[in-house]
Amino acid sequence: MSGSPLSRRGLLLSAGVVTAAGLAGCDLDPTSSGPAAEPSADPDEAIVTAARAELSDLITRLGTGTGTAALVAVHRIQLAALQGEPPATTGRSRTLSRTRTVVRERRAAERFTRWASASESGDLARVLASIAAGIRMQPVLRGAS
Amino acid sequence: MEVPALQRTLAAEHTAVFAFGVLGGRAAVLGQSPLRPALAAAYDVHLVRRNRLRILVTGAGGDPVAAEPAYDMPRELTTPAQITAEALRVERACVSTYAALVAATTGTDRAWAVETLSAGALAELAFGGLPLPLPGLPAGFARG
Repeated sequence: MSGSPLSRRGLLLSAGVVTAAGLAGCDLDPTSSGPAAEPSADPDEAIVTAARAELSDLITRLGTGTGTAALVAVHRIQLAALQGEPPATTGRSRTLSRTRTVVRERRAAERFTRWASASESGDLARVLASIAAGIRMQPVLRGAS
Repeated sequence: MEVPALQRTLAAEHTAVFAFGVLGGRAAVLGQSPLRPALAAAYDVHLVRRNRLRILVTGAGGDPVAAEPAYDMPRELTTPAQITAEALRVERACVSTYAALVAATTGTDRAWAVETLSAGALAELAFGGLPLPLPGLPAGFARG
C-alpha cells in the first residue's frame, strides 16, 4: 500500500531541527558562514528520536537472524517514513531468539501506540500509529500467543 | 477539526455496516464456509464502532451524519473470492479513514483511533490482506 510518509518539512519541524519561519530560507550547510537557525523546542523531537532508535535497534538485532529478512525490510520502510537513517551493518552482533523477537516486536508496537497518542503533531501521530499497526500485522506477532 | 473528521469516520462506518450486511447475505449460500463467521464478526465490529462514533460526534457538539439509504456495491458478489475482495476493500478503506482520524484528534479520541487503526489493519488479514509496513497511509479516504 503506497501512501504519504511524513513530509520532510513536517518531520524537520517535528524533530525540532529548525523553526517553521526559519525553514523556508534557512541554510543547513555546516560550512556556511551565515548564522545557524536556532532549533525550536519541539515536544515531538524526543518522540521522533526515540522512534527512530527503536526501529534502528530492531533492524540491527534482527538483521543477522534466520528468517527475519522480511521483518527487517518492514522496519526499514517504517524507519524511512520517519526520515531515519538505516543503521550501518557492522559485522556480527548477538541476534534475537524467536522468543525475544516476539517480546521486542510486541514492545515496539506498544511504544509506537503510546507515541502516537502522545504526539503533538497529528501528521506524526498518523505515521506512528500506522507503524504500530504495521508491526502488529507481521506474522511473528500473529503466530505468537 | 475533530467533528468533521469524526463525521467522515462515521460515514465510513455506515458504509462498512451496510457492506458487511450485504456481504453476509451473499455468503449465506456458501454453506459451511469460514467466510461467513468472519463476515458476521466484521459486521458486529463495525456496528459497535458506528455506535461509538455517533456518541463521539454528539459529545463533540455535532449532529451525527445519517446513513445513506443504500451504497454502491459491486454487481458480482457471488463467489468467495469476489466477496472476500470486497470485504478487504471495505476494511482497507476504514483503516485509511482511521489514520486520518488519528491525525485530526487528540486525547482519548485519538487513543481510540490509534487502537482502531491497528484492529482494522489486523482485520484486513482475515480477508486475504497481506501484512504491510503501513507508514504513510493516505490522510483521506482510500479510493477504490
